[in-house]
Amino acid sequence: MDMLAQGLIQGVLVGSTYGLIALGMGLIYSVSGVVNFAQGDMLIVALYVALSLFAAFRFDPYVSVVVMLPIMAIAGALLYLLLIRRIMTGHAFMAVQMTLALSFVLESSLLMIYGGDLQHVPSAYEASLLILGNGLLVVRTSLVIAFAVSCLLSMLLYWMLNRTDLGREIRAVNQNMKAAVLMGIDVERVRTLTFAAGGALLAIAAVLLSPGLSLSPTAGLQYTMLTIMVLVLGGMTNFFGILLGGVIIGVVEAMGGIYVSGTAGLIVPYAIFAIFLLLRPHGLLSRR
Amino acid sequence: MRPDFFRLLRSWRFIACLLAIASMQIWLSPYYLGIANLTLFYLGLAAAWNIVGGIAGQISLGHSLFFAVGALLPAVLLNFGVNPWLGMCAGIVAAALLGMLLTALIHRFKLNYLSYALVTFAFAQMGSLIVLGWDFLGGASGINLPTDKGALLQMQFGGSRGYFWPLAVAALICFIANAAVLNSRLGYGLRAARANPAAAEAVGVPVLRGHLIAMAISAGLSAMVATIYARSATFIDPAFLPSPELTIEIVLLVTIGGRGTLAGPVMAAAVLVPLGEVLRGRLGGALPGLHHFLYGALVIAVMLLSPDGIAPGFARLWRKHSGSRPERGI
Amino acid sequence: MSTSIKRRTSLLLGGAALGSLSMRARAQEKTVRIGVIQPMSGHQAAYGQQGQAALQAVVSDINASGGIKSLGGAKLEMILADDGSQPSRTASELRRLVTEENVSVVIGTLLTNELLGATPVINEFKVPTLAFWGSVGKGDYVYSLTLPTGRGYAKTLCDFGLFLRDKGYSVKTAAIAYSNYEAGQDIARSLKQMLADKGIETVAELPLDTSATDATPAMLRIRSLKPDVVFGGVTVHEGTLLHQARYYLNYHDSLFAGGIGGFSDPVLWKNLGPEIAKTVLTRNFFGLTNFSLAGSTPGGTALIKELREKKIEPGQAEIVAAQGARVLQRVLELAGSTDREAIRAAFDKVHIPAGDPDLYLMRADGISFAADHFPADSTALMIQWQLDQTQQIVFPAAYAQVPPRPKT
Repeated sequence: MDMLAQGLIQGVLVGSTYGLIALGMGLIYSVSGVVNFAQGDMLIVALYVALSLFAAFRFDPYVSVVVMLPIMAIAGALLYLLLIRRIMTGHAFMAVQMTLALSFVLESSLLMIYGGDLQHVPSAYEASLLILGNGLLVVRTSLVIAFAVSCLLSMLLYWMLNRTDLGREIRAVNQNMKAAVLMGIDVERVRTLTFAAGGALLAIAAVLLSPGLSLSPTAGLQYTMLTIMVLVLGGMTNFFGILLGGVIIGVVEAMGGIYVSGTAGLIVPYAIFAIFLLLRPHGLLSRR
Repeated sequence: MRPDFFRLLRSWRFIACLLAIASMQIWLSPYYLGIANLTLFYLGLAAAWNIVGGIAGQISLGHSLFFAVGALLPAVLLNFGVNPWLGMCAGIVAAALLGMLLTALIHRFKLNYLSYALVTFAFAQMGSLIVLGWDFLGGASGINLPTDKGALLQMQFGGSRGYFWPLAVAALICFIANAAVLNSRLGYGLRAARANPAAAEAVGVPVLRGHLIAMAISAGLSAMVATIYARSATFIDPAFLPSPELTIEIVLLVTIGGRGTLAGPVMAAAVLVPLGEVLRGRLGGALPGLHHFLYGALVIAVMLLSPDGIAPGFARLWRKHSGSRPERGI
Repeated sequence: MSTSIKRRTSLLLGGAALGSLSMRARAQEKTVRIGVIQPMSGHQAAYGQQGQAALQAVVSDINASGGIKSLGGAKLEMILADDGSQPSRTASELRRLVTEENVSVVIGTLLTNELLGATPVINEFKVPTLAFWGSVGKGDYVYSLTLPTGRGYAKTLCDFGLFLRDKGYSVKTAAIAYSNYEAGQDIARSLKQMLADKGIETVAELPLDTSATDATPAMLRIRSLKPDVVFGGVTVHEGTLLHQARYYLNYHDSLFAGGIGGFSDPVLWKNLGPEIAKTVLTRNFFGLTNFSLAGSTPGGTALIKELREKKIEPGQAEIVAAQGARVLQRVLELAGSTDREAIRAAFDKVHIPAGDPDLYLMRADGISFAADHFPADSTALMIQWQLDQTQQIVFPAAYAQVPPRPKT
């Protein structure tokens, strides 16, 4: 029984971080129709930036996030201005391929700069554990922090999307770009800011994930595919759907490994994903 | 079938190209011949994928399943004494059936392009994990085919100079299949369905049937190319053919070349595969990662220059040069 | 075989003597072209890059001290190729090295799948190849420096389990955690069989996917089954995840004994961070290794010092690569020629005995190749960690420094 509880908690906590990364991807998709195939690699880049900040100034990742936020925000904006904008004239899929090529560039740059060895960013809370219920339930403090921040950020995002002017503009561009232009919305500005926000979200997600993570330049693709799955499961632009999708994937991943032996356990998340998507192709919480 | 199809096959330009390519078998050095073989392999897979992913517009990331079937089924059957040529036929049929099953399963859900891509990706990942985990299929150690002794009846063509022929023939078949589909009623139906499935159904295009046929052709051809490549490599690497990474590479090639065009997959494969290999050969020893960086940067540059692909870009240049000409199925 | 070698060698020496009379001025520039294939990019980049640094250091030494004497002082000229960790590219790069760069012999990390991908090319062009890490080689031309997964790694782990049992530890049930790639699967399969033959039941087999980011599910299963020993065949990446998961679940009820890098590479301390490492690596924990900083051969100790002076931290990848360079040197000295057949024949005869300054790995019988082209002496060491990141050897008896720590 405690295995079930432990697995559930693990899945929910880890899943919330997946949801956070997917939210960033969802924001970008909502204003441009582009699925950022370089999302995972940008996350890894952010992690390496944290590594460099530690090597240079001995900043704990929780501290260096202050420096990383503007860097990643600018990176996001540049991604749009330099690359995505020029390719958006055609089918959105071409832009996806562009981000794929970008992921090659990012990955090989990291390899050239940092080498292929596994790296590790030391962090204050990486070894800290919370032990509940007579030692039966052990939870990593860093995961709890990640969960709390993810929830907070999600609420902030929700508030921003629904209560601020920028949020309204983003939703307008998402629903009907031509009408948005006619209503006087500066679509370019909205897109640039959204991409920047996506980058900033990645910086925060990187910091939340960094305790205990072994970094290597090729780790990005796995995160990208995972995030895309969460995004699609959640319905692309449905806010709570994405978070729910993250949690579901996290839980299924944990449960599959625990209860199903061997390779079959590794297959479970994909099977569940396929089933869910076929049953609810417009997203978990869609009304259709 | 549009007469353009037969005109293409008879055109002197086409035949000249074929002869030029065939001659490479004689004058290329072993290293470059190896690269040529690899290019033909990618070309075949790209052309095969193009039928489903380009002409039909169904961006399938599940083709690694067909590569795996094509490589593994003949290998497994060989252990039971089945001749590799027969095994290849079995692989083609099995892949076609599997593809049709997948299409039929997914079709009723009317997914958009991204969901379709991801569902097929999920199936591909499951397939990859099954191959890695099941000893019968080689597990993570892969399967070793018998040493090549040049026995043609056993699909052994000797060294790389020998394998050029089956790979070239396979690539040619895939190319011709592309041309055939594009110039046939099936192709029209697929393109109509790609643009607007509801309207296509309304005018009587049998969309599901079209997709099933397209997938069967695409899957079968993919399996065929994979069988020949696996035999030429002698080692079936479970992290290569059944992996999603190869499929993603193929999709990238076709997209850069021009999805749905005839020349697109060919151009992209012919340029990018040798380029990648030569870059790594020259730079790999110097600064690890540099070759990959240049490759990615080049791809980005090409996409910025010609956002709908190399082949349409060339077509535009061609038209500008020689005045307007009616489209010729490219 | 040996007579034709003697004949060839004397012919060559004679020819070289005659030739050197007319080419005395050019004798200084003679080189032996060595093809080096490493995964310098891609998923296995760590192996390739670490090994290459040490390889270059030792090759410089060899060249500085006069090169290959039997070839008139010819220097080793390394031509490096990167295969991007993909077996299809290994074949392509090998073809380039052999046909375009005209190398006489090929060495390199060559993990198992890369080696398998390259084998058809090796056999087609008949080029002798020394693989540092590949544990499955087919054909006459491939020689492997690593331990075979069966009679090397799995057997050492099984023997260690029995050794613990004889010392009074409870060893009735076992679990096997392994990296889901070919060496890991091989070790798991062989080990399960060997354990069963000795009456130890394997209650769980836990594959860890190479792209996994978390091993908690596997550790949860271990925690619920509580096997006496958890054997491991994992690389550094999966090993790090496993030990982290153990810490996060606060689980210490099993003994952990395993290898390759995932249990014994010094880089684990950096990856886990000092707190976690101190808690899990020094408690109920034993690692299998080819080489240990704890006790080394005299040659090994000198090499460690030299590598550190060159700012190369000696780990398994580095030491195995360095050993490979010395084996190559001996082979070339024996062959006395750059002819590929002569070199291949020399591989069969090469022997670096115990006590030799060029022996870096702890092998009682030194290094030589058995009929299966793997090292004849397949000893591996079991170590335990100390809080100050040093190791102590606990098994086999011939090298043991201390008895294994009791279970806590």
